[in-house]
Amino acid sequence: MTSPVAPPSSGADDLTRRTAADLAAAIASGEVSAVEVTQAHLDRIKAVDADVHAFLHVSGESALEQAQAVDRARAAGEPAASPLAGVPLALKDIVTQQGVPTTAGSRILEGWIPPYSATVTRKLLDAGVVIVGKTNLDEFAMGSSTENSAYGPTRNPWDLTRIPGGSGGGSAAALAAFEAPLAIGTDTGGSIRQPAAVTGTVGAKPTYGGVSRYGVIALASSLDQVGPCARTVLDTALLHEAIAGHDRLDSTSIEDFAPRVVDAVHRGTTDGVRGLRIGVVKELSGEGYQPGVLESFTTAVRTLQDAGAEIVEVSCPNFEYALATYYLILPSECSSNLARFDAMRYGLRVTTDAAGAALVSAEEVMSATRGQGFGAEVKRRIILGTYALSAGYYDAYYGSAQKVRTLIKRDFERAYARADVLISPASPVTAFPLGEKVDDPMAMYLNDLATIPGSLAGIPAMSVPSGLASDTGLPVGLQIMGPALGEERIYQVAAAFEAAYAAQHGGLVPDLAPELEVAAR
Amino acid sequence: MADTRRGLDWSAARTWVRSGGPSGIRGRELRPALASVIPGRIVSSSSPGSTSDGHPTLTAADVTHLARLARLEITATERDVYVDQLSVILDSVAVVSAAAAAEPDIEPTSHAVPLINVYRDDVVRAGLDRDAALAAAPAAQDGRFRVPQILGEEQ
Repeated sequence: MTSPVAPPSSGADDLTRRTAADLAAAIASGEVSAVEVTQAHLDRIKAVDADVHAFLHVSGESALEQAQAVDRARAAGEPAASPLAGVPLALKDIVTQQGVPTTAGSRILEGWIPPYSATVTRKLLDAGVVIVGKTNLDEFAMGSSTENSAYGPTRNPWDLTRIPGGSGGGSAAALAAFEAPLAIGTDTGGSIRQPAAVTGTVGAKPTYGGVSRYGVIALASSLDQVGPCARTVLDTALLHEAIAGHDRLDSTSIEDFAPRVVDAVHRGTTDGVRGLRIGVVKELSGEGYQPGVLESFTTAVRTLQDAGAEIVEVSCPNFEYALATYYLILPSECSSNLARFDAMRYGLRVTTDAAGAALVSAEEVMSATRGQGFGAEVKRRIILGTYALSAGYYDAYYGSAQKVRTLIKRDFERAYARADVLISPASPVTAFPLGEKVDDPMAMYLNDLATIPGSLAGIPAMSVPSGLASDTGLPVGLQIMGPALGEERIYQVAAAFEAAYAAQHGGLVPDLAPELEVAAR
Repeated sequence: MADTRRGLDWSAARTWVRSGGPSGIRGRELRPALASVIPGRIVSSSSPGSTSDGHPTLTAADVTHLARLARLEITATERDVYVDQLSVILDSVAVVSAAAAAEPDIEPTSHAVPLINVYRDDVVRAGLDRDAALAAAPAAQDGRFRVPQILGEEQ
């Protein structure tokens, strides 16, 4: 694979510019210490995060302690805990980490310190990964721009006046701003893939059940999935292997499923996509997609064809219903999941009304707390979900939506009979200006047009940068979707595409991100 | 926000998806079929509302009632915004009911990989420590959560 070209203004010795794989190797060989690597990233966060606002909490002290432990183990002659030992990571603030504040981007959890860690967090710490902080998100992961965060939006490092995508905009922005080489996201309808697309980074949603959700605050339980984010496909694969696997604490977790995605990446880099059939989904392009996005996608299709893939067109007619199906299932499940925020056991408790009079009953306290603790989008979805689940409506709405999911799943199955993987743009548009869609829920929902079908079918899918749009100059993501349990195939194609892109352009998309102003702080 | 409905339109998405071909039932052709699928409004007992083309829609009383069911205090301003926005969203999602009704024998999907119920061995294991659980409580007393009054005077 061609090495990324370092941008002119940053020295090759800038640790924050290096990949996770490279940093782990440097730490393992003793070229640098894990503490030096961690400190470099903490310094970078200090320098740029006032502008980017990727982080809601920076864990400087505990991060340095974790890095010291990695260095101590190495000094004692112990083998590295994992291929990512000592590498910094940004954790989406919907994943619990014991002793570290977790807000889910909501006022209702302001100041909450979880008494336990998510399985994903535990696996990362066991692997020697250094968690530098918790990243911003749309409240309870509901949104496509991070503007629904109660703590203010994250800004896109490519253009600070624009959105970084959502809900995992903080994790994606942290990568694009070189604040961390690795990040964890969660994807319910596209919250890993769409932010990756609009920030020029890589993000993968595993097969539903592929990564434990224990300790991750639930949004829509039949859709939620945790996944890896990074700036290269190899780093994403290394992180994927670090977090995947069965967990007895998550009853939806798949047994005996450990995809060898790192091997798949090496296969893609060396063997490319020769002999693979790649399906272009007819329904996931055309009207509703920005011209610059479609142009980049067409170029990507040609790149894959030139690399030896056979391109076929596939049709998935029921994708027409995907967005509407999603906006019945998601509100229904979230209205149920968010009932746990009841002001009784943890989180915010409002005990007086607007006039200052004491609220007496539990019901009054609950209602006032939820009214003040939840933002507009969360309330909108709770009300919609309450309606869709109410007696007499359940069959017409939630029940129907679960049936239409089957139709969408069948479309995928038919498509995978003709193609090994499917591709589409990951986001219909490049990053849009902050504030542009914030008062228009339907316009916001359209951002997940291309990612939602895969979410409903529970299949693995990822976004890898396909270049910059000629009309806006901003990053575009190529979505690669595989059949259920088909992680290895999508990583192989992603790695082959990334290598072909690097060979053509002499570097990778994240290296083109503008330098952020770091002086005078 | 009085004119919220104008901005809320999935027509662009519908148009492009419809251009995908004439298979199955599509968009607005479904409207007549919906009346038989979606029962009359039952959320509140006030007079039924509907859009100009006969869809069930939400009234301010409905939204107030739903918010109360969800234990969610909302202001009058929020209520009015939600009446408009939710009606448009409901209108847009109605195609789902009709699509499902068109294929009555289809099974619902909730998981990409078939799963059976999961059990663990019936052995005692340590749970969360009581003090740790109570540490995040808004109020605690004598090793328990302290909560506001649950029963009303008459109960």
